[in-house]
Amino acid sequence: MIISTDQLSVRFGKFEALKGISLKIPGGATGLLGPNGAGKSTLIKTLLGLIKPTTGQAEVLGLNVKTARRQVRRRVGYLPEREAYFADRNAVLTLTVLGELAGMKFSDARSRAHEVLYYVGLGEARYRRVQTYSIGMKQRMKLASALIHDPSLVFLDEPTNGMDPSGRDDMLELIRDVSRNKGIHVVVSSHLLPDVESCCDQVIVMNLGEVLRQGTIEELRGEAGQTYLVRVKGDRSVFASHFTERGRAVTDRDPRTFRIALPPSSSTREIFEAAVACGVQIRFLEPEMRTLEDVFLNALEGADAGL
Amino acid sequence: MPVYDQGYRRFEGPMGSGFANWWVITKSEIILRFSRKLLLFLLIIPSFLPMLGMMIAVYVMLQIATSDQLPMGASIIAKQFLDQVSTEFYFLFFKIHASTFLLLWGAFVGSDLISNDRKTNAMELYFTRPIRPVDYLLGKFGTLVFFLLFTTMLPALLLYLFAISVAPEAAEGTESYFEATKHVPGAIVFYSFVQAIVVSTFMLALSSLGRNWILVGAIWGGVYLFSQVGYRIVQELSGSGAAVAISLRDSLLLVGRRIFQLETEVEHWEAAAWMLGILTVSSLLILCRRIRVVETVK
Repeated sequence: MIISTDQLSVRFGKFEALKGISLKIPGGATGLLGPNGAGKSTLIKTLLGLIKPTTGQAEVLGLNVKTARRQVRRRVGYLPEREAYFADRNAVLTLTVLGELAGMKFSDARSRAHEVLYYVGLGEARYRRVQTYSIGMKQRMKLASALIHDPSLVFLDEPTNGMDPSGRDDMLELIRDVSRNKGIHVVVSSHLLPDVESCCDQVIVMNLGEVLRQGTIEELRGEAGQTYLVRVKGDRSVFASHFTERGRAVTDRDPRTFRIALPPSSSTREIFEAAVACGVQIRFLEPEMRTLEDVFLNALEGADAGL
Repeated sequence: MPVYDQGYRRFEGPMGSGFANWWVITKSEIILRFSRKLLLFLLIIPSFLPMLGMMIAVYVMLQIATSDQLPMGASIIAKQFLDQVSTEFYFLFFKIHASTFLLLWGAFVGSDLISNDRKTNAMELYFTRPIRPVDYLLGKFGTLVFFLLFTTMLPALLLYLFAISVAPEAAEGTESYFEATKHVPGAIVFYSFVQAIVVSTFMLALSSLGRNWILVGAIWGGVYLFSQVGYRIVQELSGSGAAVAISLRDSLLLVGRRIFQLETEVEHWEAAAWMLGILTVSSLLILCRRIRVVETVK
């Protein structure tokens, strides 16, 4: 496990930003999903040792974030959500300083600054002052800042914030490359589901300082069972009520097609048996692809229902 | 074509302990300021002009005093001038510096040290590295201290060395120039540090309070200049020498006179010393509150 927390709570005055979170994050790329105010950034800053947890424990790469903050930061990179740069310095100077602050020798930091800037696509602009960069370039610059000291784990807080579609694709491609080909574990915090879906293997859904769901994307998609699109010939209302009487959710996708949600323990056999029982013919049957958005909305609805 | 370079590789070089992280910050700030041509031509080079002027004056007067071809009057005036090249002469250098350059250094170098970092959220970059707030503070502090020492202690010591090297040999039975002024180098070093520490701490505290360096610089200028005016007014009204504590510049100069073992015009140098001490401690307290890792939390 690269990250583990046990009953981790953070309180700012009366406001409880994290409510006793217990997590275990394996290596690879993990997405932290949640609406604004869910506690994603607070969790990342707590794991970086920037915020002291009120109660509970947290370990990053086997290091306690309370007692080994500096060692954690030496091995971890961070892409902040907000715009952050050194005024009046070009990208090479900025990265050299950041590399040196992480413990690298000046010459190593300088040569690695060039290398990392080429990697993130800023090679040609590396001698320009960072404040003259476009938003997309600044995001890449922040990624370079997170990678300069070659961390084992990077936290990326809203890495595609404010980027245009093509820049966003490039950034996601970079994140995929970092996690899959460079051997660096990645935790991506975002409220943009397609971003997380495209570059993460596992997802943690958060809301109001709590973890609502955790698992691989495939697991979460299958967790709530499977939804099928069904078209029948015969009495549609009898067929639909057969399922609703048994507690299955049935909705109309269009005037001709039902959307029937079955629990994980069930299968298409149930649909066929229902067709026989109701005397209808099945003319169309297709499993509906659940997106991460469905999982996310389900999780949030579940949390709201529990309130 | 992918945006990334496939040649990227993992870093396998040595990683230090980050023992001198403050120096990394100081070094980068110093390099940045030396790269600003305007600052170089308008502040760094002019800061050495008083020293050059005083060196030239000493040299020329020495030539006149020892010349046989010039009228006797000129020689007498030159000798009188050279008699003044004593402790007061070196202190005059600091007085010139305090009247102009100290104000400008504070405004143009000190004001943006922290305010710019707050404006650009650079603290998030600093504090997500393995550094402590004290490293950050020392790094910023070291920058202004460096420039203040570079433009006070260095030229003052050079001026002293120059005066020693050109001073005529003492007549028998009289003490040499070196013996008469042997306390001066220590006073130069000590006073330069006192001035640099007080001004840098205060300037950093001011810088940490704002995000706009121009505003911070203007506040510094206002405090520096108007506190002198306040001092003169209160002194006139009350007749008390202790009113010197109102003015930062005059307090520094009064403490400086004491360090240089010069007669003090006002006998309340203790009040000035207390004021500088309180100002420094208050500035440190402000910095401790403002420079916190929690700053990164929105």
